[in-house]
Amino acid sequence: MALESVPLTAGSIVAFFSKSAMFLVVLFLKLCYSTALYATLAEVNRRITVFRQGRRPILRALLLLPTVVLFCSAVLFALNFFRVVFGGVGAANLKALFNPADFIFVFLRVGFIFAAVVLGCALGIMTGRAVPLGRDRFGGLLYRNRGRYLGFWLFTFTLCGFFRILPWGFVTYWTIWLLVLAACIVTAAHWTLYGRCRSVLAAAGPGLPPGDPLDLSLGAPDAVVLSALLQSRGPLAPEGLGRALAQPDPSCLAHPAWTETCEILRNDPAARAEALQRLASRGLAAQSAGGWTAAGAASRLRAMGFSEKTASLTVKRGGNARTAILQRQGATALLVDPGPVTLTLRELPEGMDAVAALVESAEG
Amino acid sequence: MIEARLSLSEARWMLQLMNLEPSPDSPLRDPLGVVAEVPGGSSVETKLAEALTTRGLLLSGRRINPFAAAAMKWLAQPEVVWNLALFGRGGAEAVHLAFREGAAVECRREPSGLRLRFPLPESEAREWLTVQVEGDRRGA
Repeated sequence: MALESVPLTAGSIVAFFSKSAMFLVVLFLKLCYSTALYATLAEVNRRITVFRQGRRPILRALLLLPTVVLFCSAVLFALNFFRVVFGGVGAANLKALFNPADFIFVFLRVGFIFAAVVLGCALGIMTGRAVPLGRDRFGGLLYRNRGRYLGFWLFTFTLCGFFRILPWGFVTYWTIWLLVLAACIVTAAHWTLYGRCRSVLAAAGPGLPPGDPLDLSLGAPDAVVLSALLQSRGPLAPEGLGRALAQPDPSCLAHPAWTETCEILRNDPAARAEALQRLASRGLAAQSAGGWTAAGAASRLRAMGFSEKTASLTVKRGGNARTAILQRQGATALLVDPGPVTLTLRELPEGMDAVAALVESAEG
Repeated sequence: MIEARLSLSEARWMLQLMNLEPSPDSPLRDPLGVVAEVPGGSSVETKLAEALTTRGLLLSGRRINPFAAAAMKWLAQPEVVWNLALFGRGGAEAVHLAFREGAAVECRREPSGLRLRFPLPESEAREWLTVQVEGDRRGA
């Protein structure tokens, strides 16, 4: 019907082809944009995965992620600026805005976006403060972050990118509002985390409390179980111990043979119970109503928290290797000899040359 | 003390020139295990030769600088190796000391390859270790 009503002239044919060419160019540009958008998303997703996998995240990563998030959000916001602030009015028709009612709507829209910024920052600070942070036994950062807010941002960003391609103005407005909220949450949470990490790293450890000098010799299963007890924040029930061994303390893995021991103990409750009984008979573990905790000399180790500096020396000679580990915290020096069968842990007397002891232990 | 930085390809090619293979104890065994041999007469070889010559590690006639050659030999086939890993506020750091013929070479992995420092008399190895382990305490 429509085609029949249009007279077929040279001008109409040129107009039809020029409009078709314009349509193809715009389609091509939108495809380029969406490809670039999803490539960026893939990169962001990769970085988030790497960030989550890192057991010891670098402080720089805590700043890098919000920078990427802010940049991507700002680009998408800038692309949607007119649609979000002025509604359906295009840049060419801005003079039509000289209407007081429209001004009110523009202020309301800007106010809503501003509310997203304030709400996002508040939620971000709360999220950043809620993430558990601590030090592992070797002084590294223990950082248990599930990063769900990053997932929220990624979802919102994808949604915005999708609706950006479509012509529905009001959906764009709400998705952009969510994007601003999510970007502010991520940024504020990471800056809060960054500040907390810096203060945790700057805090000195309590050191080894006074008591009899430590001199322990443990079999591999006992060492692995004791290590899990030392790492735990509170008493560990036998089932909880099995779960704790699923993510072993790095010190358990100082000798390759112990990885296997750790795996056996994780899957064998009887072996775990035997190891706990052996530790209890030596006064190194005690059972309370809540479960098992470190006791006696082991409780001194637990109170030490982390060692500020750890040196692991492996001496290789003629195909044989032997490792010794020196853990230092203030004036305290602990020498650990993780053999394939037994672990020896010895507190060095103050004033003793700890490096010489390390070399002697590693050279056997 | 001489300090030299080598990419993994350069280290691999120097060992090829010297007909050496890293022994099981060698600190070069793991990093160079993933580097392919450099084909003789290739453009890669020419580029490596130019890069090493510019830094004085390769002399005319494709002779390796004698100091660098000794360091590579000690590293590739050491009598004793100390692998030192340091953990602390700055994260983890690994450094190797390979001993042979009464001297030692220090080898560190870097993102761009290896950093070598040599020669270190064997008698000073403990002092070296003390500086590495207690560097901060001594203000080093």
